[in-house]
Amino acid sequence: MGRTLPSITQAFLIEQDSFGRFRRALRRSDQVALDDLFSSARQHLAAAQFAAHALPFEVFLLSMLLEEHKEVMRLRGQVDELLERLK
Amino acid sequence: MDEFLDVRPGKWTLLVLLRGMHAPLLSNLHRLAERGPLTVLDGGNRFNAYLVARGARGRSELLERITVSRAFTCYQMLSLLETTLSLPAPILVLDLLNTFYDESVRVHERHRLLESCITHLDRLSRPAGGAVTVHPPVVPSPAAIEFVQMLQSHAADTWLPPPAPVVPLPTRLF
Repeated sequence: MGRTLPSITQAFLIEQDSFGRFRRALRRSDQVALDDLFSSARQHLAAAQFAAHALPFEVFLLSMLLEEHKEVMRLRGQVDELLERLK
Repeated sequence: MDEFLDVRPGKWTLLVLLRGMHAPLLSNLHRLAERGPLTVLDGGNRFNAYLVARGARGRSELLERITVSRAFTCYQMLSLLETTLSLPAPILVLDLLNTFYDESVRVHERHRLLESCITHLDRLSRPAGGAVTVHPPVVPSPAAIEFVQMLQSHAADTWLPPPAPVVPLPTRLF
């Protein structure tokens, strides 16, 4: 009978495309950062599909935040490790 | 887009929408849901819940008022209309003729089914009104054109897309 909703990958690509003009207006360095954010959201598409949220972009934003927080946690761990060594 | 959603009890409006014109309609569907329950019958798999949810800004109380049923053949469409109760809620039929353009069903059969569908549309739109969307046939066969005309003749109002602007031809040099 076919799909009754776009798949989460299609929804993601639609959302990403909708920011095309915004991306084009950014500096090259910012474009790279934006692309990184979207690729971090892409890593959690399976979870986003499972969430079946009415507003998928909210899930994509949370996925971006999740990856950013993982990075913060990793860096915090490294800082703690360095501080231990300096003691 | 407001005129699309101007539903009045006892009448249904026919909206002839071109490709891509369903998206703004769906984005504004929450306005009907703000007034109360809304029944959507989808004949062309046009109901994109993400667009509706975005229009409603994710307000679940609005989204829960919308009931969607889908039909994938003209027989299913008639069956849907037959089994839908006439409630004091506006009815929106999306892409009604999509399944009726299917040439694998005989013309007189589709004609009969559409006539029955129109009877049920009249019944369902009596309490709170309704709207029916169709898209023009890709292959403008006489039968397909007749189906659109049948709907037009029974609808209280018809909204047609504005004609494409005429681009003046450049003056020929030779």
